[in-house]
Amino acid sequence: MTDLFRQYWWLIFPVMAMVYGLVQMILRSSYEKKKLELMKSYLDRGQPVPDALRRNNHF
Amino acid sequence: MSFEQLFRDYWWLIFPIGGMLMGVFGMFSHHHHRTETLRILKSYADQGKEPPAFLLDALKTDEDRAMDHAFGRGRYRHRHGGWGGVVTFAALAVGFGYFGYQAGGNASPVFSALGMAFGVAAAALFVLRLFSLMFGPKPRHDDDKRYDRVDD
Repeated sequence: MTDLFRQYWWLIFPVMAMVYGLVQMILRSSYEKKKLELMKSYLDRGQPVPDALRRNNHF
Repeated sequence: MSFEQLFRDYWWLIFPIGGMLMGVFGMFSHHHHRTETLRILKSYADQGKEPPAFLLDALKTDEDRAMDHAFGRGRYRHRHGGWGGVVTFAALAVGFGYFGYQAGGNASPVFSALGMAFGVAAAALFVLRLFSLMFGPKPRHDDDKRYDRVDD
């Protein structure tokens, strides 16, 4: 077990990068869904969609 | 014995792993902030009211702000010129480098490697700072009074 860790400890970095990317993708999709829902509620009322919502505000 | 030896050899992994955890936590809290902002905006929209400008401003990214505000007038500029990073990294480089040099051949090469890495980072930050001093925006005399500005 410790030998395995000694040989492959550097795998922490790529694996964590993948986890990071995955989490970011999931959070972004949930945010975009909520944003679309808000835009829809503006459109349903016949109001103009605020400019701040039109932006592609990724982080 | 083996676990203790493992910790001795890899204690420095605490720092990168802690940094990763902080990054993930920051991502989650940023997401929470933005979705809560959307929720409040939705409740304004449902009542047919105009949302306050700062709520819409909260949805912007820092990049948007940098593009919106004329060059050098953003709220997110470094307030003391950004030399702190250079100093911190240089201090870390000197510390680790000195430790690696003192320990000589009988210590693990991790200290020298860390010293070199931080040294390269400090040099790069220094060069970036010099570039932004030479070509970047000049500070305004009323900069410190402008942090609460909200404008589109």
